[in-house]
Amino acid sequence: MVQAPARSTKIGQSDASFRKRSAGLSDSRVITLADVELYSDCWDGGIRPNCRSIPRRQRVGNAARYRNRAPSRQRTLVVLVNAFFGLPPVVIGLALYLALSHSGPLGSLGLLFTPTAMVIAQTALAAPIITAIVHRASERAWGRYGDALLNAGASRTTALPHIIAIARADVVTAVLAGFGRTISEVGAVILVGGNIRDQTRTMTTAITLFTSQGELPLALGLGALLVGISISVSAAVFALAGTARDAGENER
Amino acid sequence: MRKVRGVLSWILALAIPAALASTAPTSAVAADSSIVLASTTSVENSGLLAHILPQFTTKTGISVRVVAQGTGQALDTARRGDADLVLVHDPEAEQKFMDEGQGATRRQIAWNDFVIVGPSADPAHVKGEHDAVAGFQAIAAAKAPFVSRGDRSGTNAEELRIWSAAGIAPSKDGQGTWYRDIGGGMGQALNAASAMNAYTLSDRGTWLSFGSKGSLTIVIEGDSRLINRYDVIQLNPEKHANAKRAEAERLASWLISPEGQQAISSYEVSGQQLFHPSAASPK
Repeated sequence: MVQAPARSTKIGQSDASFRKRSAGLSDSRVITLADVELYSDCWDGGIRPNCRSIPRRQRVGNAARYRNRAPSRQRTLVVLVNAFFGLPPVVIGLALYLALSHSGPLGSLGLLFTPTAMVIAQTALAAPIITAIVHRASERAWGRYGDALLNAGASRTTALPHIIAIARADVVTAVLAGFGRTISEVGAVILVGGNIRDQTRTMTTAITLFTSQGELPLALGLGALLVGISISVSAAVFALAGTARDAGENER
Repeated sequence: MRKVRGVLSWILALAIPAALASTAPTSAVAADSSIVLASTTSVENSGLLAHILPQFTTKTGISVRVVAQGTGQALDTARRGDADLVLVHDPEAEQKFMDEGQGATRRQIAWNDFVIVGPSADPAHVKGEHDAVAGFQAIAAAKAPFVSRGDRSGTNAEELRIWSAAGIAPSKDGQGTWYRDIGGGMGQALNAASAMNAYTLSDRGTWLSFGSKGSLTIVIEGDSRLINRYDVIQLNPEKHANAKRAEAERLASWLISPEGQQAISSYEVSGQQLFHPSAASPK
C-alpha cells in the first residue's frame, strides 16, 4: 500500500518546510513567493521552452494551480466526458448498430448481434462515468498532494499511481457506478445484441421479452434476481474496500 | 510530461471498464456454422421458433440466431446485409422487398389468422362478429380505445389495411383520444390493451401463448381478410454477398420440407395448434 506522501523518505528538505508545503496551496504560495513572478510563466505545467531549464523541484506550486489553468482543450474533454454521463444508451446502441452493420464502416468485422458488440456498447456507456468520477477525484487529490509528491521526487507520471491510491474510495464509487449503468442497461444491448436466445440475451433483455410475452411473474422474478445481484456486488465491493473508505476520509 | 499523464490516465480510465466488461457473459461461441434469421416477434414470442429450430440444428449442425423484430424492421435488417434469411408476414412489404431485387426466392411456410381482441365489456358491441371492417367501423364510431402497434410490423400493416378498407383514418380521427399508437411489439400491445381496456389486432399465435390476458377476449375472428401468411425469403446473392447462402438455403428448404412442416404443425399451446403448415398449398 502506498503511504501518505508525508512519510516518504525521499524528502530533501526539512520536515517543517515540507509539512508547510504539503499542507496546502496557501502555504506553498508563501514559500515560493520569490519564485512566483520569476516563474509565473511556467505555472501552466512547465511545458514552455524557457521552463525546461528550471529544475522540476523548483516548479513548486504548478500542481496546485494545474487544475485552474488547464488548457481549453483539456477542459473541453472534461466537459464532453461529463456530458456523456447523460447520453441515452439507446443512442449509443443506434450509433454502434449503424457502425457495425454490414453496410456500415465496421461491417466487415461481423460483430453485429454478437456478445462482443454488447461489450463494446457497455464499455462506451460505462467509460465516461468512470473517467469523470476518477478524474474529479484525482484532480482533488492532486491539488492537495501534488506538490508534496513532486517534492518527494516523483514525476507527474510516477505520481499517478499514488494519486489514484489516495482517491481509491472514489475509484470504487466510479467502478460501482459503471457497473450499475451496465447491469441495468437494456436499450443499447438489445439493439446491437439482438436479444438472441442463449447468445446475446441478458437478464434485462430477457425481462423485456418475458414482459412482452405476458409472463409477468417470470419477468418480475428475474428482476428481483437482478436487483439481488446488484446489491451483492455492491456489498462485496464495499466489504473489500473498507480500508479504502478510511483513506478517502483522510483525504477529505 | 503532461501528454504522458494524459495518455496514462486515459489508459487507466479505459482499462477499468474493459476489465468490467470482461466479466460479462462469455460468448456462448456459436457452432462453426450459424446463420442470422431476421424474423418477426410473432413467431418468436409465440414460441414457434424455439420449438422447431432445435430440430433443425440437431439435424444439420447449423445454429440459427434469431433476431425478432417487426416485419418492416426485419426486412430493413436484411436490406442492410445483417441477416442471412428472412421469415416475415406482410405480403405488401415482402413484394416491395422482392421488387427491389433484395430477395431471390419467397416461399410460404405456414399460415394462421389475425383476431381482434377486446375487453369483455365490449363497449363497441362487436363481439361475435365475423367482419373485421365493420368491426373497426363500430369501434371508431363508439370511440372505444384501440391500441395500434405502430411499428411497421406485419400486424401493424394488416391493421392499417383494415382501417383503409373501412374508410377511416384513425391517426387523424382518434390520435390522442381513442386511437393509441404504442410503437411496440405484439406482447406490448396486448399488455397495453389489457391495461387500457382497449381493442387491438393480434396474430392468433401470440394471442394464444400470451400469458397475461386479463379481461381481454377474442371479439372478431373468421374473416377471410384476417388470414396471416408467413413467408421465408432467401436473399439475392448479387446484392448480399455476405449472406451465408448455403446454410440459409438449408434452413429454407427444411422449413418447407415434410419434416419441417410436421415440426410447425406439431407446435401447440394448451392443446391448440398455432400455425398451419402451407408450403404444399399456399393460402
